[in-house]
Amino acid sequence: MAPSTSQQQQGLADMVGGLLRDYDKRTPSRLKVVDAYLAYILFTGIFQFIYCALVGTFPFNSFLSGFLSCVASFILAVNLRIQVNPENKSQFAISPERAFADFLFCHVILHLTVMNFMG
Amino acid sequence: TAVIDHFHHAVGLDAGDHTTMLAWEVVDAEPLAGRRVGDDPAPVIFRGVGQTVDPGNELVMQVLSAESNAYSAFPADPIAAYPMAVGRATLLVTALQARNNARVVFSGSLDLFSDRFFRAPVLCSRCGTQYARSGNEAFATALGQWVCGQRGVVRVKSVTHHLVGGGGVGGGVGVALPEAYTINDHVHYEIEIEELRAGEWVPFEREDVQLDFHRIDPFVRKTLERRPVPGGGGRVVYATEFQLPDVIGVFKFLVEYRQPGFQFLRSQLDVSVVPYRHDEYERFILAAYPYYASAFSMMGGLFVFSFVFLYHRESKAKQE
Repeated sequence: MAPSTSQQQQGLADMVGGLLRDYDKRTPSRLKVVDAYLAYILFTGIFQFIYCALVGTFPFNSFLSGFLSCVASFILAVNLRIQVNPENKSQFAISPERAFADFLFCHVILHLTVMNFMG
Repeated sequence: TAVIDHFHHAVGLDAGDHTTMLAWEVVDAEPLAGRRVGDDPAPVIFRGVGQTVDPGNELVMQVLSAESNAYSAFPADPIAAYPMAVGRATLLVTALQARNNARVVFSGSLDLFSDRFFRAPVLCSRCGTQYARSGNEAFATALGQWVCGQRGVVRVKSVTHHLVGGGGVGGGVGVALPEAYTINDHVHYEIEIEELRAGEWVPFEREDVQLDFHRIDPFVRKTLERRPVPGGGGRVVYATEFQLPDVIGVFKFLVEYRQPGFQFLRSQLDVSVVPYRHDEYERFILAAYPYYASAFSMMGGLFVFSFVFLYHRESKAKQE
């Protein structure tokens, strides 16, 4: 017997709630800091994109520079999270400190490029 | 053949065949005719041969035309064919100014210039109007002066242009003329034109001199204003200010004055119009402020995040 719609909705809500609770319990707070940073970058990027869609693409290089700085920061932070996550220890031979140092180095290059392209 | 006008011949001078006729239709060119339209002058007495002119000829002026009742035919013979010239198209005196300003006058009548016609009182046959003296002397004097280069002679005395407020690439006020301007510049142009009157060069008086800012086609066309030169002792310049178009290229300041009776006047100055240099654009674009803000906020967020990440301790509940 297929579950009814209200049962499906209830099941969905249960699933999401369960996901959030599990996330809260199981992830180390260090990773939660990274996740908060990721959410901030995501929000900034979305805002920029909506602004560009409303106002138009002039000046396009500035839009690209700002938007891609968000995208690249997001990618670098995701990589940091992967490398720092204790569950992935078996796959990486580098320490969290080394991961963070790589993260900072890439950010230096990123922001140099962004400032150059901004115009 | 002769030009015959049965309605406008000069009573008293005419021999009976109505070839001594009167003409009022003088070209509207003050240097040529010595008078302007609107004056009420005496007619010109004419006895002679008529002319026609190719209407496509741009250089010929119809100085004196017959009235609409005139025609050109052999006076003694009956008219067998349509006359060569009829009505106002019958020209009595014509003038030609070539492109090099050489002047020629063709007159169908020598008697027009005679003392007898100069001094004769005029009585028009059918229209009945009377004049104490004919208009021949004034007309002939003006015409003679025109063809001999004493009237209607003009020249350009000086031309300058510069940025409004002075300056310009490669020149400025009081220095050599600028060779180049930037797009959207405001420039000032002035030209001084002189006319020969009674043997003296005096400032030109017409109000319809125009300037073209020209690159294959005119991008700007303005009528120049007559302005007295401040402290210049009666000198007058034709000047204007305008904004250059948002187009690059090699342009010319072109003044071409071609009015009947005056010499052909042309003044051309070439000038380049160049695009903005890289540092003449606006430095920060208002529409891009959100992007500037986001780039800096990324850097700021990174700074804050580094501190939080590095100095973070796992919460006590996890440390077991």
